[in-house]
Amino acid sequence: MIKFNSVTKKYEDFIAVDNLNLEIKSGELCVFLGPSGCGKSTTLRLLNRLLDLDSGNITIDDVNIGDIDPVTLRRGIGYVIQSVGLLPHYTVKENISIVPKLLKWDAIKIAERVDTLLDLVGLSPEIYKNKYPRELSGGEAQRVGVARALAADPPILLMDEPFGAVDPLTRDVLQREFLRIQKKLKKTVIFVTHDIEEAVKLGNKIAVLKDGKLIQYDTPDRIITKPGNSFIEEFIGKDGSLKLLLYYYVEKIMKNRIPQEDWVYNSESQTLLYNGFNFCLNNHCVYKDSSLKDTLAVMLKIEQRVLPVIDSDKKVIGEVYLEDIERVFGNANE
Amino acid sequence: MYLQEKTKYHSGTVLALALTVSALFLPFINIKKNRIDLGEVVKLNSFSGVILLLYCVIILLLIATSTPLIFKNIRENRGLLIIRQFIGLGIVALLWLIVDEVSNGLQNKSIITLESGFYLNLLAGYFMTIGSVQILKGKKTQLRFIPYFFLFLIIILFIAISGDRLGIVLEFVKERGRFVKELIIHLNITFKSVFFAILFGIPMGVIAWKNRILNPYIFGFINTLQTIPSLALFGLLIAPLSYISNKFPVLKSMGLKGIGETPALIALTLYALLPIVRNCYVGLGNVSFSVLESGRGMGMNSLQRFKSIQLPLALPIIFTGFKIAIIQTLGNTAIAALIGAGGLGFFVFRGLEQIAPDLILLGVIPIVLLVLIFDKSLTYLIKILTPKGLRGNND
Repeated sequence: MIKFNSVTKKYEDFIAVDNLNLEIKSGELCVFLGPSGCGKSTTLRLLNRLLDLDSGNITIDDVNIGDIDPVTLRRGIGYVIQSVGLLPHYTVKENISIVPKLLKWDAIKIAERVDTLLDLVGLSPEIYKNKYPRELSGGEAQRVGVARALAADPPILLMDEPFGAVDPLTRDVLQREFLRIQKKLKKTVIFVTHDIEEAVKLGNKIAVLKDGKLIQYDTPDRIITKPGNSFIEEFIGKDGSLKLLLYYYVEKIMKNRIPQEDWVYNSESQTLLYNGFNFCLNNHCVYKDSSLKDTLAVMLKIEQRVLPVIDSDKKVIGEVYLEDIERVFGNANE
Repeated sequence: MYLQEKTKYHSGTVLALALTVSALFLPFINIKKNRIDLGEVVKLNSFSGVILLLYCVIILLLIATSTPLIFKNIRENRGLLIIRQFIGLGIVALLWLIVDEVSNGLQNKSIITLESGFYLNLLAGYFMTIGSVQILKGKKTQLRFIPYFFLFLIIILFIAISGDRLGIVLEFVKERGRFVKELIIHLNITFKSVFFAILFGIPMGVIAWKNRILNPYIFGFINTLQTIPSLALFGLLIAPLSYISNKFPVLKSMGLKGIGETPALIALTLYALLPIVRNCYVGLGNVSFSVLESGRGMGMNSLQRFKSIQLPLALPIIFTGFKIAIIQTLGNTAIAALIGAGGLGFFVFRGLEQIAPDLILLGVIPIVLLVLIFDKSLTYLIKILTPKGLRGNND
């Protein structure tokens, strides 16, 4: 558990972080959201002591971080930044091994760990291990950045706008992959972003910051349906309800049924015939982890009130109804 | 379509043509009865008909291959490229014939000095062979041997014509002992100066990088040094050094004097500071903030950050500074001979005094060769020292 107790950070007479009180439970992904200059990155850097705070204290599992040697502290906290910061003269493997080497792991253990991590972030170890950063695309470099932060299996991960510098398509893929990894590893993550959609998609909790002050700290659905003040309302925008759909996944509302006779599968054209409509497997079906926003978009496009849900082998595992999506708003507004 | 129109002329060939044509009016060779004789200049028109004819053929070939009169696509035609190589080799062969003819008609004891027309033709040959092949870099070709063949041919040419008549060779033979001695002194002064410049320059570069307040003073100082003409700096040092050495006999016994090696070392060290300090400063500052910050975020302490990030990333640039300092000092050391420090400049200044161009060349050519050798080999060394992940951007 990470606790910020009345934390204040000043730069001469500019107050970057103003009396911040915050509690992040272990295994939770907390997003710091706010416009640039709101103090979110500063707060992050206070936690691994890249900056020193002026008053208050931060505790990790009830230990004041001021009492831990900064170098030791940082080796136990994964850190990912927007510009990635891979060492250009190190191979991918060497970059990932940095913290394990600092912690004096033995070489065999490090080599195994590198392969595991590259697999985890979706890069084939054989292909990528010996590449240099300049041979990687932006998305690949960011994956290596995440692998490097996870290298020594730290319980805490700090991510400072990690997907801010990649194109929207890659960003979407990276976000999904990261959610998958987080589901598996259950790290305590603090994720800084100024993109509300990213915050809603990824966060278990969102802390909205403005001018160094914490304005609201709540779950994404409550932030959207019950914004604390007009600033947050404005920040969310008029399409808040659509953004809320990013927070929910098909899994939450799908009807688990494995239909037999009413779905007619045509393997040649890769289509499913149901209710008189031919669903194209590639474009008209959704997955368990598709967002409700994508699901609704498909429904509107092909004018259907029900869509098949398929798994990665393209087998039907259930269906999702428009009424259930509508009900999500009802529940959230209560 | 204006943009798609390609240059119609092959620039290297046009240049070679201009050189061979201007050589028509310049002296090729100077024949002297002895070393101090002003000599008798031989121009192209005094050679035999065969040579004149061959010279005209070469000029015609150059015209034909430089403009699209006969061949289309002058720049990319592969056949033309081969023809050009042979024209270049032909020019060297013709120079051989010329020297051969001149030396056959000589009296005993006469000395041959090569003149501008000869050198211009050598340059034209260079443009046609090595210059033309440069374009092929990176492409697979069997023509790669031609530059080496060209150089080989030139060496053969010089050996053949030197006999015992070529001025510069005669000077060399006469001054052989002195030459080796001055060459060693030259290298000695150069490397000592660069060594001292590195010794003082690296700390200065580190301070300039670390300390914003001292930075302008350091660069102000070494930039000002660079603006003092080298001759003046050597001269300026004589008076204070003589005074100091007379005042303190201990220093005098250690070799501190107003003239000789000491002032030369001091002046050359000061000159070599700029490339070393500047490259050290640039190299250290070149490492991006995000890389260093991520190193800090991962728990590297300041020594580890310096050792595994800052230094390896800065080293290639710092070594480039050493290379520039060495090359620059090799040239500057020539002037050290003026204040009695010796070195290859000795031959240059004595040649000037005696109006003996061959003696000047005996000093200049080795310096040029040294610069070329050190430039190539140090460039290669730096390439090896550059971390693998950073390579391939410059080549």
